[in-house]
Amino acid sequence: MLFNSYIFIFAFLPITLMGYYLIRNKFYQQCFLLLSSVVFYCYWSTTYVFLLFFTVILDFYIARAIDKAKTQKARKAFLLTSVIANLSILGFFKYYNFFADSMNGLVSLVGAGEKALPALNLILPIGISFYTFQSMCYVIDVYRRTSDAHANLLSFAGYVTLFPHQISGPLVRHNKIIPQLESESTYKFQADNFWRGCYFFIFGLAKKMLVADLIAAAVDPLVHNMQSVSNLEAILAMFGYTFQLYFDFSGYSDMAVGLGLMMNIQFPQNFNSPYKSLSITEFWQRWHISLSSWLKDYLYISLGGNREGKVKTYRNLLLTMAIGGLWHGANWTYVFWGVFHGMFLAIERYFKDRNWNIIRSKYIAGFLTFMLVNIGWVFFRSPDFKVATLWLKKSFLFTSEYTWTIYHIALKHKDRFLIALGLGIIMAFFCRNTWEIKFKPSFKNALILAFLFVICLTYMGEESPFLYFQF
Amino acid sequence: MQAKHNILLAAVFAILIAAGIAFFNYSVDPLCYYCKTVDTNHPTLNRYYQVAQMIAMNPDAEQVILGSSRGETTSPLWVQKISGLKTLNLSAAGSEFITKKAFIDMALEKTKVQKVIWYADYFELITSNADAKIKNTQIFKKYVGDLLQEHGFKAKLVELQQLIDHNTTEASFAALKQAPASSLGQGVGGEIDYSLCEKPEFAGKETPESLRNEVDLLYDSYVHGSIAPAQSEKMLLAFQKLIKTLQSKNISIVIVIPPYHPTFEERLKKEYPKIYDAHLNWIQEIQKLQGPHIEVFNYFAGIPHDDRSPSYWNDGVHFTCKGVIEMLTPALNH
Repeated sequence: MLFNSYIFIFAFLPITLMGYYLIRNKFYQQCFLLLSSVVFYCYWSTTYVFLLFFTVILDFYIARAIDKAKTQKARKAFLLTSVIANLSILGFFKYYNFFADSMNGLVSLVGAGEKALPALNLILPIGISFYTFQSMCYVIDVYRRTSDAHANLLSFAGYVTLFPHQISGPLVRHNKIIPQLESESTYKFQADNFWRGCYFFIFGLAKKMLVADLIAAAVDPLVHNMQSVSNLEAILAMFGYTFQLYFDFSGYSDMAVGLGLMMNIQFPQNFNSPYKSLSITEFWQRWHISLSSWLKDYLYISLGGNREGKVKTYRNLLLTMAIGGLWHGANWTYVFWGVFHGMFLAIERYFKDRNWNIIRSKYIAGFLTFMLVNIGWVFFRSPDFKVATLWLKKSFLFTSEYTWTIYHIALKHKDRFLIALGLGIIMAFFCRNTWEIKFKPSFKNALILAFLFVICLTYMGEESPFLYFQF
Repeated sequence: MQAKHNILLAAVFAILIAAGIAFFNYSVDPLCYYCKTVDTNHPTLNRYYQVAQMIAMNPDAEQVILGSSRGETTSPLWVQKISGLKTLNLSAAGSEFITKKAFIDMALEKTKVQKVIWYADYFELITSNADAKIKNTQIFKKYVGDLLQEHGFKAKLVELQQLIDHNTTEASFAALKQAPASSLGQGVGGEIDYSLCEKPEFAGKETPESLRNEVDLLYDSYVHGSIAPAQSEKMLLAFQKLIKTLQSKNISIVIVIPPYHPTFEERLKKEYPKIYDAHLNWIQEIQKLQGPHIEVFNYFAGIPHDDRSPSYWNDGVHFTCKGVIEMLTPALNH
């Protein structure tokens, strides 16, 4: 179920909120919330909901076993069981075909026959990357003794399955959410939170529907036809996708935050105007913050972080980002995107270690960072390296002749696209983000919310899935 | 307290604004979904309704051309010149069998039609290609009959959703700027200067390179979309029944089976032999209809003199007006 669909806005959400607040007993409210989340998941698949519950139950009892284990060896064994089980499930569903395809390619390259591994017709369980990481981090925290094992399976299941973040994050931590789910005050209607929830939800909806989707309608055919697009179209596709992705995902994150707030559950900030960054390091402090902090805490630090010398620090940065890239999807282009970012993180770290500050102008630094991010997104969006290199060649005018026609954007989408892109540029570079705006309850703001909501509704017929659903 | 008050206020505003917009969209009715009759003064974005307006404005029409977007390069004025019959081109992008049936039924009712030129498309008998617009446009409901009518609560919900989704404010504003129905003339293709198409040096609008791209583009979208599903047996029977009904009314029917671009056809034959064979079976079924008042002109193997160039092709499936002349001249002179 999409947040930007009639069924969610006019059926699921009102029923969930009414049930949530009309039931007057915390235990039943928790049960109702869990049930709502299960219904939300089942709308997509009634089969894979069992996989979700398998992960929940497995990690809950393994964490408990770790907590009670008397020896370090036993603790480690339990941790390994959880990590292997979680990564095996994730690996099988998400990466098997990628692995098989790469293996078969390698086998045929060395001339050792054809198709060592068969391709399977697997459906990627929606949200698996998110819930696996969230569930796993709980077990790791208990193992590291940075958290106690939670006593209540209902709260833990409520945390992992919670519908606002269930499918596309943000990657929330158990120690931030479970205490809220266990607090009595969470289940009492608080108008201030609800108002702010409506604000986040509607602004997120507007970012998604009035900016991201209008850009997507032009960018998708351009990328699909990269072979025949002009230089200008390739440039528009590159910038277009950069803003599409930001407004799509930050819009989704805002909607998730809004939905959480409507139920008095506070989610962390996931985006903080990332395109205003002056370096790649800063970019990762502002982009998909919940994932980058997860990668830092559970991967980078586990690899040794910066504790084992400078060379290993650079290696760890590269490795963390490469795995982060792979997390986004089973394709070498994602891995390359991760390595690309990891490489610049390492370079910036190298410069920082030597106190070199070559670029002093913040405008040049900001421009270079933005262009690097753009190049990265080209690999992120392209189905393969062939398309990516062609896209970059056309965008940076490395072609024998230059063409400036706009032919591949349907007339219907052209004006919408240019307006949405212009709006996106202004909002991303020159405006405060949704977390910085103090949207206080007032007559004027109520009117703005209502107006934006209705405008979004008028575009609801063109609903499109969120980009991060695939990850 | 202030927050609570403003939440309610926002909800009330939302309802009022939504109601205002709904009223505006309903009043403008950009797709004429609510029009009960054919109103020739109603500006509309609904191309099917535009066809109905054109029929209503030409009660003396004697011949109609029925096609999808592939029929849009046929000049009704050229056809009229050759045949001597007043001609309307009722082709509209996306028209499949049900849409064409609605058009011909309406034309039979409102004009003096004696002859029908039917561009047969493989995709027209695939149920999933039916455009929601034709079933949502009230004036066509009586012609569409049971072929498209869906019943039950879910169908009603879908219909309601389409009414809202299609009649958007953006569409309403666009409809207000729409040219009047009188500009429709005798249908699409009316603006084509057919004297140019008849000249041997006619070059078309594409370059050889852009045509190659266009062929590839449309090939992908066709084999993965429009022609991928199987044809419906029910639709084929309905098509055959319609042709027989026209025949029984002494109306001459010319069924033209146009080809795909040769490259498209070669790739289809090689890469999707099942779809290709289904095309051949469909052609066989159509050829069986040949008889008194019914002539079938099968050009699936190619347009006469086709040199694969932009003078004959705009893309992988759409031929130019020169291609039209090559295909229709024998049919019109017959």
